[in-house]
Amino acid sequence: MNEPIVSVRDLSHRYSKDWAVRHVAFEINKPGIVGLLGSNGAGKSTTMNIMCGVLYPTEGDVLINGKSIREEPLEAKREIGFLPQQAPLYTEFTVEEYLRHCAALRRLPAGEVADAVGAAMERCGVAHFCKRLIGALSGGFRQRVGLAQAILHQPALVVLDEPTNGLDPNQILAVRELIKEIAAERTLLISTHILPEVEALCDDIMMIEQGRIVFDGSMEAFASVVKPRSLIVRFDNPPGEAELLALPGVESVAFLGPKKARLVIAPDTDISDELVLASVAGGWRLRELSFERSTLEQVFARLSGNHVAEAA
Amino acid sequence: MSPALRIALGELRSLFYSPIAWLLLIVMIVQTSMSFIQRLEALARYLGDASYTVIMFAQFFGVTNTLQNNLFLYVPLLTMGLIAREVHSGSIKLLLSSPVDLGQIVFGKYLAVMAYFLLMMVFMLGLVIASGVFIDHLDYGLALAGVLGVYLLACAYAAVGLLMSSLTSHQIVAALGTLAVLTVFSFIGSWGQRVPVLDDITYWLSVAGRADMFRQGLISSKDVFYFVAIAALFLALTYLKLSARRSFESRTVRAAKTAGAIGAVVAFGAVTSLPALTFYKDATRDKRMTLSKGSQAVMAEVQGPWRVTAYANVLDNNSWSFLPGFEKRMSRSLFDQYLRVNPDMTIDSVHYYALSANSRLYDRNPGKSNAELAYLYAYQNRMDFDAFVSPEEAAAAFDLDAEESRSLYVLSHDGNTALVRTFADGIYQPQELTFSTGLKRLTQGPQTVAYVTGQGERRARMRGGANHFRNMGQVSRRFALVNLGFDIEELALDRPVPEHVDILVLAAPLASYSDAALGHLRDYVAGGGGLLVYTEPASYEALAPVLSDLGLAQLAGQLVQSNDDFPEDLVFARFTAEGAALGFAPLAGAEGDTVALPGAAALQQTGQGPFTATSVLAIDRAALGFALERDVGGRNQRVAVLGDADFLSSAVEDSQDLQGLSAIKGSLLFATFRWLSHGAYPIDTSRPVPIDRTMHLELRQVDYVKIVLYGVIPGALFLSGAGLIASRRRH
Repeated sequence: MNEPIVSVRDLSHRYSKDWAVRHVAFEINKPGIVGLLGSNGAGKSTTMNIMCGVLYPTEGDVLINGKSIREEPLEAKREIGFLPQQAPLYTEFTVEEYLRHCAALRRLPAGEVADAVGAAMERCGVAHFCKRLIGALSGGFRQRVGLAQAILHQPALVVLDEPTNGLDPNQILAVRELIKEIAAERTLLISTHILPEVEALCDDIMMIEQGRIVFDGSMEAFASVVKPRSLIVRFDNPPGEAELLALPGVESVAFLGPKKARLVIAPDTDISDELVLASVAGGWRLRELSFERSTLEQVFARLSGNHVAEAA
Repeated sequence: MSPALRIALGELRSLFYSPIAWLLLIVMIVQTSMSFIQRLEALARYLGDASYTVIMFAQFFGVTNTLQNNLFLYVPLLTMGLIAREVHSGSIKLLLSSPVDLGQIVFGKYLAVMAYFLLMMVFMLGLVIASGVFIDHLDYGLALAGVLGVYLLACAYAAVGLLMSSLTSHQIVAALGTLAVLTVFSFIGSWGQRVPVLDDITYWLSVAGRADMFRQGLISSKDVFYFVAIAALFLALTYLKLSARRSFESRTVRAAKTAGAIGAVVAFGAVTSLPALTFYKDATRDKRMTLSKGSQAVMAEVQGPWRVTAYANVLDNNSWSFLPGFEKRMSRSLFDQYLRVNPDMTIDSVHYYALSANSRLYDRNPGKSNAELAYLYAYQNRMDFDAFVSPEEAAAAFDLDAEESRSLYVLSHDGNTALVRTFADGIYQPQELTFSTGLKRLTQGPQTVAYVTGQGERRARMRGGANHFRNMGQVSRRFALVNLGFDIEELALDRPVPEHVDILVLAAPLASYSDAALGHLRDYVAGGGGLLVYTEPASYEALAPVLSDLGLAQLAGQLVQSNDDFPEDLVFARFTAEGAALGFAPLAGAEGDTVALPGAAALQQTGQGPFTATSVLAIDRAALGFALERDVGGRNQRVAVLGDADFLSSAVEDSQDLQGLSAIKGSLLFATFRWLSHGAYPIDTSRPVPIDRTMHLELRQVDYVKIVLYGVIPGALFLSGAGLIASRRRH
């Protein structure tokens, strides 16, 4: 039987009295991008830091390609590339110097350093900046350098903690493309709290909330959770609440203005056709119909059993 | 390449890619160069005969100490960012997620600072080599030992800085914290000195004086281990701090680990400081940090346990030097060289109170009794008055009156005791000559010198006038013979000379000896006793029969010598070549080669005596001193006759006109008594005269050195650093 690429076993960690993560367990068995989602303070970064050896687990263990981060930390770390939330850069180094230094830290044989650094720079699109000081690079290119250090030793697992945080929209798109390319060859674990990023990048999703895994499944399964359950409508000649409630599948109506309302609909229900027909028939003069997307917070709340007010 | 080395290289690159490393190096070089130039200028003007290497490198204002003192400033600036910067920028996660052990990360960072300071030491080596070019026979061992000491100190300081850098992500806070801890390490030695066990721990922890020993040329294993232990302690604490940041640990566990690290280091320090386990390397060419050969011969006889008990009169005006804290430092400087030979030594101290010569104390506290003053002293110095000893109790250990209630040391070994006194001079504490003399008295006993009285002779135990008190019996005087192995007595010749007398002294009697007295004297001489006769023109008649028995005669009248500056009755005599063969010669380092003799009488051989006579002191053809020898009962008997008695008198020493003229009178006194005591006392603790006393650099040539040290080297470094940083920024 093949070893899972990542096996997190009953992982718990605490900084002081309170547990930051508690009994977290999951496995990753195939290449691709796994999204680790969670609200701020949910335990994502703690879990990632433990997986990468930055923190030492209070309880439990992490195995990377069968190597225990607790028992064989040095061997396990050879299998990991890590880009923390704040890219670990030495701004006074040039890109090439920095990557060479990282290669030395990753204990690459001296003869392989030049090729590995060159390949990583090519892969991350920073080869033309190789002699430039990191401090002089833009945020997007710094993040690319951070990605380059995470992959230059060809690790089995690359862990990226909110890799697009702080980037402008163009940089975000570019970095996402890069992440997809990298993921073609290996397993990526990526943490984020941006839903579109999850949808754009991830094959599988794990959601962590209050230190516990509350969802672990495919993107398709996650999509059903994320699927919108409310829509916003605007009429020139709005009907009354009762007329809207009478539509099949409408569970509740909330007027957001004299002509604007939010309709909450039953799960797995599509009322758009019925609504258009009713508008024509009733002379409501429907001007706008849009589905309201779930926010990640709402999804976190739903999955963790906590209910937050869905009103905007 | 080991991961620690890779981290060190990365850190060094990081340091030199920023201006701080370059600027610090330039500041260090300029500051050290200022001291070097100042010393060169001082040596170019120097007329003394001290070792130039000592002046350049070993003195308090020397080059080595300048760098040593400035480390306080350099280290915090250099170490503040080691870990704080990594934590602040988040790059610490790169290190922690790499396949590198945490210990290697800590050691790698430390290695980088060690390597940086090595650069500074390369510059210091350059100064040593330059000194070797300028100064003939430079004592390289001494100079290099100092460099080693500074380097070890810098490494210990760097470990402190590394820990402080791991405690905070703010570099300035880390720098200030380092400064604070280094300050604590300088003063910790005086803390808790009244608390048993704690006093030893804080004294050991103190960095004060450690590098000083290296600077003076003595490398000891306990000092090397101290620096290693302090560095290891702070590296361990850094490791524990970073480790605690990575994992959850209860405060109890953290405290236990910290206490364990400190305890292990203190235990290591305790073991490596044991005298029996301490090894020394005296790096000086002349072994100036090791006991002289004379003292080593004395210590060879001190086998098994020995004890030094300090009796400190708290009312004495130098009693501060026996306060807890000061006492340990004093002991270290006094006894360390002896401990190296026989470590089976116990040191303790007794504080007593008794009437002292400290007149200011009594003036300021009129009407207070000695006990009340002692109580006040105890209160002011937070000492336990009940532990003080009354004069009566102190008197059980030594004669308080004879010792003028001064502070002193009682040495004991194998049931014998001997006193080593403190002195009424600027140094106050005993030094090697008097301390080794005390030790020799323990194993071989004193020589007894008895001055004959009753015929108007110079006195040994009476102050003032023409008496020899200052040079013989004054206990508070360092070079009085009473402190150099001799018991000084006075006796009348109305009865036989006691058997315990080794040297009988007839110091220029004015009246003739009675027949009975001459009879006792002749019996004594016939028995083989040692005799010293001082003549004066006025003692011509009184000494005639005595000298006649010895085969000598005093010429009538007084010797005069033509002189432009001094009275004609002041004559300047020299040791003879024959006398030199017997040891009558200027002491090592003595200034001049003449002895000024006021009112001397010439001597001559009559050819009728039973002794073999050697002229030892003369002016041209006039003999002023004879050494006489013969065998009596298989024993070599020695008699000395000197043509003057007043060169040892208090009046001559007090004479403003004759100040400084009797510079080598000590040589005559020492030579005479050493010969008479068959080499027993005064012991010879002299050391070779330094040979590094010539510099091939004139004052005006120092300007060229200034150009190199203030201009060329810092300028080259500045241009290199600025060029490197600018070229990198251009990319």
